[in-house]
Amino acid sequence: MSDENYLHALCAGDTQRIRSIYQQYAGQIQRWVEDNNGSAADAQDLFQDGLIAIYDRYCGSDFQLSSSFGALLFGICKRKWFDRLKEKNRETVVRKVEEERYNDDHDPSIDSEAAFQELQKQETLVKTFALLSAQCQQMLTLLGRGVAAEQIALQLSIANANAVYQSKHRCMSRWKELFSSSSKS
Amino acid sequence: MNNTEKIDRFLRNDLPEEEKKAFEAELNQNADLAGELALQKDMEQFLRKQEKRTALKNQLSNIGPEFFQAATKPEPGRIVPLQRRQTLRWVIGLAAAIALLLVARFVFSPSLYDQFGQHPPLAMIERSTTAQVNLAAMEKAFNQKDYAAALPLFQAYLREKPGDLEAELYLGICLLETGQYANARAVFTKISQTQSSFMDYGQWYLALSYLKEGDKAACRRVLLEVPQESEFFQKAQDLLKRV
Repeated sequence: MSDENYLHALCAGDTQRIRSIYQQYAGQIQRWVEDNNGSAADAQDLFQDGLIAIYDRYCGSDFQLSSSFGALLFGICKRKWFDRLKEKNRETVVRKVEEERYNDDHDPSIDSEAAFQELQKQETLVKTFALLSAQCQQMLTLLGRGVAAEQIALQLSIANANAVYQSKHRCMSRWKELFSSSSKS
Repeated sequence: MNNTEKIDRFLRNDLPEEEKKAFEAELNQNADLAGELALQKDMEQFLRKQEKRTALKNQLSNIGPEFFQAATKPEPGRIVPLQRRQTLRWVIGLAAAIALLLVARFVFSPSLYDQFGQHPPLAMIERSTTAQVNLAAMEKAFNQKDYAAALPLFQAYLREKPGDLEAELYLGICLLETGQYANARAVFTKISQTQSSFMDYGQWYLALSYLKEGDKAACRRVLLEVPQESEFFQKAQDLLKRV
């Protein structure tokens, strides 16, 4: 399966073809993680985070895949693992850096880094969104689904569409505050 | 107007021409404002993608364990023969049980329609209405799958509030569940042609109506038309593989 197909499968949530991504790369990543003081469970988490990072950066956005899917995925997993090791304050040196495995003339580490940063941002958005009031969460989710403001007013017993937007602005302001203070810490 | 509101209206293209120009000029000068704009864009994007993202995470958590297994440690020492024979008997018993379960699952597996036709629960109670229609009774009948009882209640409600797409959708489901396929399809077709948040539902239920009636060719035809933006795209793909 081609790299575009992997990406497409991921964006569409195509279970069968996502399985073939695992089939293709899980072994390699598990071996690398186990060689670097991790377990199979760590590898599974990393792999999942790697795929979500690719989803965050490439699905529904204008960014094009410029390195190979495997190199990108491997790059993100490594980046995330270095981060985890640092967090855990372990004195471990990650032994092998096996980028040579992929002979790719485009340096995947730039794309991996960008996707990793995107993942971090999305996770912060998830975390801070969860801190908003239930009413805010419900309303913003409906807006995100593309439900018309008039319909939302009806559903959430808000006076009218205009009031929905007023309340959206309050929710977004609060969310921005939470996001800023969370990414500073 | 604070920044959040200004940015939101800018993104929704809701600012009058002059204010829009002034805002764009300010963006070039004010890096903080540009940063806020970028963040709000990210938030909007997050809101559009969050449900799919959560679904994808769940999907991956289900797939993951198939491919990542802890290395199995070699067995310590030899096993006593008697114990081994008992283990073997257990294994055979277990295998037989699993085989039986598989057969049972095959024989008693729910129809495709039952698997895919999971209706969203009805929550109408907060609507404003006159005393003519008993919303609570409507909700109760539908959620208890008493579609024959719910049907006339939806019809009465829609006489009072024609054009309520959500109620129409549920009316269609009641028609479908009571086997009135042609009438159900008329409702779903109409909903699928609206530009509303219910259009995806209209199309999906149109496909389900053919599935329930056993017209697989027509069902496939509708499913193939489900666009990628539809809420039901993934389900449609899954169903296509099995029809």
